[in-house]
Amino acid sequence: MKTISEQVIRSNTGWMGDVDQGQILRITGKSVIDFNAFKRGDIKEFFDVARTRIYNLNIYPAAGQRLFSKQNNPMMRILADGFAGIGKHDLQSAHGCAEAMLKLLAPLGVTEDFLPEPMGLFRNLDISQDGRIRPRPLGPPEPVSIDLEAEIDLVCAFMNCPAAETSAAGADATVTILQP
Amino acid sequence: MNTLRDDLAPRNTGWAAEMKAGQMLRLTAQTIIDFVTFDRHNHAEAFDQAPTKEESRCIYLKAGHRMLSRTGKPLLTLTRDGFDGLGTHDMQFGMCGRSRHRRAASEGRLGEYLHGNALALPDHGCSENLLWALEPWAIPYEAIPSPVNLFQNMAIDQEAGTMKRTQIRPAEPVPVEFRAECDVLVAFSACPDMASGTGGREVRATIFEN
Repeated sequence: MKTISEQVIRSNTGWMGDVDQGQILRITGKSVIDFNAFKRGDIKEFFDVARTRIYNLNIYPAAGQRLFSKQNNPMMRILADGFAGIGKHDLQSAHGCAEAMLKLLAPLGVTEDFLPEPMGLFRNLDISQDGRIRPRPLGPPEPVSIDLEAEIDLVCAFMNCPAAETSAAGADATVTILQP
Repeated sequence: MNTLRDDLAPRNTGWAAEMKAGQMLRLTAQTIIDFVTFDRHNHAEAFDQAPTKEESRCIYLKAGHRMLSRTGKPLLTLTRDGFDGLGTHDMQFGMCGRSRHRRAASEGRLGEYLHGNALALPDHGCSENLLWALEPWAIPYEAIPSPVNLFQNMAIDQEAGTMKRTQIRPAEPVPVEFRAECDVLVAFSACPDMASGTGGREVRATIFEN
């Protein structure tokens, strides 16, 4: 696999970039990262957490699943997940740092009234059988990676959240784009 | 009690109405309702599942919980829940509809979502019903939020995260009641509810003042 680009993203900063169909977006980190994705050229088609949960019939994202758009089309495939067995990524919460995310997404034309709910990487929640939600800080001891393959041309973005309820808040993240 | 509006929405149709702060909405049904709400004076302040779940610290909508907008503004409070004790209202799913049914059919997965694999599918569902019901307010599809799915009881394995449909529904129509926390626009689809053996039924919608 060929590395197209690699960048370190400090805490409380974010990243936005193109990921072409077939390329793999690797996000490596240990504290909470809020992730959004948009179809390139049409932000009205965005990664949608509810469509994704329905398609996968699962409340947690995990390797082997696909990310779906509001219009019910596949956007990405989760190829590998280094957080498996340590904790669970989150598809329930709102943005931890919405204002910073909006600044990041402003060049795309995303406004406050149109900020889709994120996938919260490394945001481990305890969800009890009666539906109660309790944050359970659980960063991996060392940074781990999640690999997302683009099924169409995308603009992806994430915020490396500073004030997350995780023990590893403030850790650097690394974003790598790979060409198989 | 002063009834302001009392409507019947047939199976697989949509309904929408404006309410003033303090007014009550009662929905009486025994099958799934895809229910959304907006700030009446700013439709961008649409209901959002995520802040709603963050405030209540619960993945289900239960009596006493508020439905919040994407910026956290309270829109409605669920004040009475006739489904309590029997099942839970869902906030994981989006909406059924043409695209959902077609994809499930093309992948041979209808049986995972519906109560069978060889069902005659309706040509539309909740996505289309809500879009049509909200047309007078010019709200486009991408601005219609993922709803609260009333009476959609899912069996969720909290460890594995897997979700399965259930056929748990009230035996007779039961009410759920909401109080408007500000001036709101409310809308729902009387879901075709292809997940239940009986299929969707009509929904009675009553707006009243105490």
